[in-house]
Amino acid sequence: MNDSRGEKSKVATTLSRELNLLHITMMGVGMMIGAGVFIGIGNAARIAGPGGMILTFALNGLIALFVAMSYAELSSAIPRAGGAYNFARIAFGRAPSFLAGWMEWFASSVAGSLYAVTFAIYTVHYFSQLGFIHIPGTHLPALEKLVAAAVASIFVYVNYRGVSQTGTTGALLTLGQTLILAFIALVGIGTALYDPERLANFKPFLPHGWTMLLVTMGFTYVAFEGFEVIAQTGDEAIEPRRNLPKAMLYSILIVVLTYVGVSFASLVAVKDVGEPAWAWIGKFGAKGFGQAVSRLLPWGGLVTTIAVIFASTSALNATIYSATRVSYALGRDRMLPPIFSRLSKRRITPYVALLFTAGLVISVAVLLPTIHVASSASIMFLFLFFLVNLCVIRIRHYMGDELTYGFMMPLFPWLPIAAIFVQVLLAVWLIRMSLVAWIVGPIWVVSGIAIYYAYSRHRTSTTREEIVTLREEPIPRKQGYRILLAVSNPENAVQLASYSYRLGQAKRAEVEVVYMMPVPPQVPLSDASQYMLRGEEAIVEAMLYLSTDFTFGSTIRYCRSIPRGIISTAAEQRTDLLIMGWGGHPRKGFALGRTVDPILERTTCNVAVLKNCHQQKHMRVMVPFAGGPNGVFALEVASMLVEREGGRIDVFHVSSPGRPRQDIEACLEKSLPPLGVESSLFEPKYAISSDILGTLIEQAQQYDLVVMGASREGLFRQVVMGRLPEEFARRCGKPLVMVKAPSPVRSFVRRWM
Amino acid sequence: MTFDLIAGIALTVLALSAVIFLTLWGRRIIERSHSKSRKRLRKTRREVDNE
Repeated sequence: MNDSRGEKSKVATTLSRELNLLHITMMGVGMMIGAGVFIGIGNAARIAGPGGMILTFALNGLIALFVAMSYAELSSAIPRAGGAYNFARIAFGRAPSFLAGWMEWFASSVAGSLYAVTFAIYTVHYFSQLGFIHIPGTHLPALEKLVAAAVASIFVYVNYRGVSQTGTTGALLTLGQTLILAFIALVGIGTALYDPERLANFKPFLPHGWTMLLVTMGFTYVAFEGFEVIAQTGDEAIEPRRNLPKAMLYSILIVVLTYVGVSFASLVAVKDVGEPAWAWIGKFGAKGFGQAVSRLLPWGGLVTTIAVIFASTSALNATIYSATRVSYALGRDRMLPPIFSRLSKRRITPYVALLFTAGLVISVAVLLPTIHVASSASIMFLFLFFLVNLCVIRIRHYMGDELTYGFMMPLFPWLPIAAIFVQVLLAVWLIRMSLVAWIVGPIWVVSGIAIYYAYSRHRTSTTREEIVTLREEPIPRKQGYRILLAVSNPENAVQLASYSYRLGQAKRAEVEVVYMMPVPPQVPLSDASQYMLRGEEAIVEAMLYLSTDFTFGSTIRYCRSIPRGIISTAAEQRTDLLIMGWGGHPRKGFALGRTVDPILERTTCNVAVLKNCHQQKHMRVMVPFAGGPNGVFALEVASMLVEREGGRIDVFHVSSPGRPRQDIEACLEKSLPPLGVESSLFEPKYAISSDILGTLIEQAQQYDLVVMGASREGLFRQVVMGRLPEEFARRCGKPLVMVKAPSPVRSFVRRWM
Repeated sequence: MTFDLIAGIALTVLALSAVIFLTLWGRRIIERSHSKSRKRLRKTRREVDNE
């Protein structure tokens, strides 16, 4: 998406699309497996019995899929951050849009309260069982509330710092917790096959009748909220029209099968307890799932606690930033006081919106009992999804011809109508579970309506477009060699550019300069251009200078993470060579640095990392050579840098005493002709020394540039360039260019490690 | 009681089958729509190139 301001200044601004199908599917799954299933199993068993518990999750899954299809259709047609708030604005105008945002803020915040409470219940219970907590049982609820408030406060601070677990890390954490639950389900199935008598636990199937099913369905509906967070990633997902709807459907499928599996496992886990299994699980209430699993697996209590800790904390983090983002958007559009859109100068996070969200999350967690927290979250999501189902019908009816759909739901309009009908039914029946939810929910909605008519209606900004759809950037067709120069500060941008220019001329390449601007997750990427360039004038000036002086293309990309942004840009633009600078100061825990390391590990194009490269001309260049996979690439880069100036390249080989030396002449004869490089540029040099690194550093002092290729190391070693090149890079004070050619298989394996 | 059991199991199987079926159906619709739009894009590109 290029904005008009970018065109005027010749520096385009784009959004970095970093999240693939797996990332966004796991985001949805992670939000759903946050607490609902852990809290819901015990309570559902108590209220609806064994069959009711399984049916609750299976039928709720089906209803959630109907709603997910509505979200999928709308997100595929309007793939922009905003979700229900955006859909309602397009379908019905400002008042329902405000109400959608207002309800979403509350629903996400209360879901956050539920995750904090679930975390507290399971951890306090586990540690009191181990004997670490010595307080009377009557005081445990107070301790749980205290822990819930503490964990919520920690994640509010984490959100203030602008940290999030998105991308591969978040996806892997969610995958891990889903696999734990899938394992529990499989053990349950195995137990039932081994001991079929346990299937008698399902009798009576519905001891309290079919109507109680509606109560438990309404109560556990919160366990299926989460797919709507996928709709929020419209600005960040790769191929959103295709991947957003797919991720929503897949996440529901994964979650439904997991929930039904763990419910089954919980029931068959219990035997010889002197009462029906469902009644035994039910009497533990929110802790019922943990109690059942501890009878199924030897370390069941620990396994459940670990799963709950991971699931609830990652979902808590995600709901806090999701709720903050909604209240920020309401402030930005003047539907709430503009103070809600105020960003912290240091962290660039909407701290006022975060503060109000924190107040909501903590007060609900502390003041309401668990059942009412879950019911309040469920009822608000039922209201919200009700509205979204109306939106999908109206938008298809009135604007279907104007929009480009990536997915149109089958059986339209029957699926959204069925969802609306069931949601009304569930909301009504929820009153039997929690009268408090039926007081808190409507009060919140009515107060929202009052705020809109008293405040928002007169102040809503009119400058923003009513319908904003995001244009997807077409994938550029491959034409010749492409160089991508990633700059990070104005001081070294010009030096890097002159190197890129020389390499670009030698290869007759197109050169694109890119500056990655990180944006915290609480601020939608599409809003970033309004705020993020403050204080970044110098780099914009530098890019403007580069684009006029070197005929480069210049782009500022808003991203969530700099390395991921650079990797996705390189892949998106089908880059052949990525050039970036390195300050020469390795960070603790990283081989070279926290930006450079992941790029060298995961990118799938050639990479050149420049250190101390301030000189314009290099007449004497050294290429340490050991015949490794990147040696030839290093020779090619060196030749491109010296060819026009008429410099010379010494190809330097140091071998240990008693070991055969590399025949450089033979290597050059073999590898230079395909590169089209003159062999007269190169001169082989040999040395024998037991201290290879020391010799190389000593020799490097005589040269004005060193070009070094990465060495091959074991796949499982924590090195990115090879131990010797990394150590050389850290200790060598001369201008240095480190190069690495891509290795798709290694990159793929390391990416997943 | 037996009716509850049979109806309950049938409903569970039906609900899970519907979830799987609708997911696969949805996936097919997405893929079809995507391949159609890609074909359309290729055709437009060809027309632009010819002009």
